[in-house]
Amino acid sequence: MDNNLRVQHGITRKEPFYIQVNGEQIAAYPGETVAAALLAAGWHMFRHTALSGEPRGMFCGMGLCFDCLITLNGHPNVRACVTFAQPGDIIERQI
Amino acid sequence: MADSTPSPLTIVGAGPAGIMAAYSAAKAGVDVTIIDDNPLPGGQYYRQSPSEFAFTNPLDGKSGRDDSMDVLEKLNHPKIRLINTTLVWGVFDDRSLALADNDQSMLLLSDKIILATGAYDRPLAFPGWTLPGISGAGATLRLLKTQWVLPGKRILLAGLGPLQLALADALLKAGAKVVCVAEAANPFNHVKDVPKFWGHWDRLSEAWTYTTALCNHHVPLLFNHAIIEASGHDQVESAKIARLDAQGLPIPGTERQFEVDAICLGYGLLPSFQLAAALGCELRFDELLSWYVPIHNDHMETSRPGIFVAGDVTDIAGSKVALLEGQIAGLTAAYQLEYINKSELERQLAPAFAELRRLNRLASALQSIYRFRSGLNGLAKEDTLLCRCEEITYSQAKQALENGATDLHQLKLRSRAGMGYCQGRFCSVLLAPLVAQITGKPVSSIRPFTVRPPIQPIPLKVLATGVSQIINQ
Repeated sequence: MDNNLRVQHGITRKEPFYIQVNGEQIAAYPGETVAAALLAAGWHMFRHTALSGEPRGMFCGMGLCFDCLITLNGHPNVRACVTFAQPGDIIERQI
Repeated sequence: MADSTPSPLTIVGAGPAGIMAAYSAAKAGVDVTIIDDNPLPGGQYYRQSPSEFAFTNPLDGKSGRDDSMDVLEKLNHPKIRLINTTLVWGVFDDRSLALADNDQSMLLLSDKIILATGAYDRPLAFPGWTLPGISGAGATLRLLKTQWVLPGKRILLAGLGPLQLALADALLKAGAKVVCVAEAANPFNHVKDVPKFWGHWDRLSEAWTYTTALCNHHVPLLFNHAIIEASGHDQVESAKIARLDAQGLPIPGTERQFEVDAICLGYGLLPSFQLAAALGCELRFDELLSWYVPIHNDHMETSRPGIFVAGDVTDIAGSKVALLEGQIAGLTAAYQLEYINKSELERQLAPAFAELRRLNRLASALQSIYRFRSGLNGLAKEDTLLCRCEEITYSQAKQALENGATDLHQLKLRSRAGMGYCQGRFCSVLLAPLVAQITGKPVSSIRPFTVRPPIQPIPLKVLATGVSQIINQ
């Protein structure tokens, strides 16, 4: 598992679990937001916009800008930056 | 209908200002309700890592600030009720705050209200600024210090002010490569402000530590430079910076390009004044910030009696000022509720006012050195988005203004700019200078968008459950 983007020094995480992102399995640790798990797996792009189709990712990181929207377990327009990942979550990149 | 006894004091926001306001009032005997939209209190300054993470140094999980344990501990006062994971989405019947958690909506009638709603990263519009991998400096600090995840492997920082240095230091400590720090100000042009730093040795030593860390890692720290362009396919791949002239406009021929996979934008903070505006509190245009803040008197009371502001929502001056302003607001509310008398209030506030004056001298120097220069509003090209949510470009906004829109409200109706999810938080500050430019009015006369409920989008299912009154006991 490529954990290069997760800080390791001085911190101990619990056992990771898996979430599914566009059909691909990625690891997430208990306490991580969906955005953090996606970024740690190297996914900067969370969705394409409805009008021009341009790519978007996490911008404000505190739940205000709504740019990091994903579809989570069938529910659209979920903010990845303020939503904690749960084992078995199914995430789809939103159009 | 449940009990409709009002909450004597409701505080919105559990950051330093909200916590100190709650503690000061609770100690005086007031029953305090504090509402926060995060799962854990502390706000942005005293941000806490999730309880699932364990730390060799427990302070790392509580923002790393020396006083964080003391500050967070204050919420354990028996007269403080903390309601977390709950946002305030509107105001009805003058003093009823509409709250929503993940499942239901509630009304909380309140006698006194203290707004400690904080601030958020100021956006800067330049070609490519919406690319994934570009986020706010505050966003990155939060990601790093609560989630312990780096935004990328080659990071460029561009912005204004000392937060950038703190972020660069944190990123370097976490093992990231910082390719450049582009600082739009030039502190060396502000010799007259130097005396204001006298006595603030802690802050100077902090700045020295950060600057030394940059030198040791061979990170270029370029003053008078700003980001002017980002490019990439599905995410940011390169960043272009340039030197700025006196107005803050990029000087042609001074561009430098960096290969990056992340960019942090730290062009200062904007106050989250939406709830204050919804409550009818008067806003003023701050020249150094080039945006609006709620007005308040010495006791942190707004233009509306019994409604207070404290912390970054009104004076973007850091956690220490926020703690003091919270204390002043909390004690004054306790006085108005007749828990303490006038002489007791004055006795308790005297040291707070003195310390606040000392800190504000430094804050005013920093605000002047790192003021937002108007040239930074001129980086957008014709096809650069100004409204991210509704995808309205600079030229579309300009067209709407040339077709007759004369203020932000008309611009919104004609172009849809400001109608999206963020409710105009990010685009308003980018559109206002354009409105000023096309209409020939000073930017200080361009009013922000009218705030309407819901102040933040909430799922309809939350409203559909009906509104239950919170029982006050």
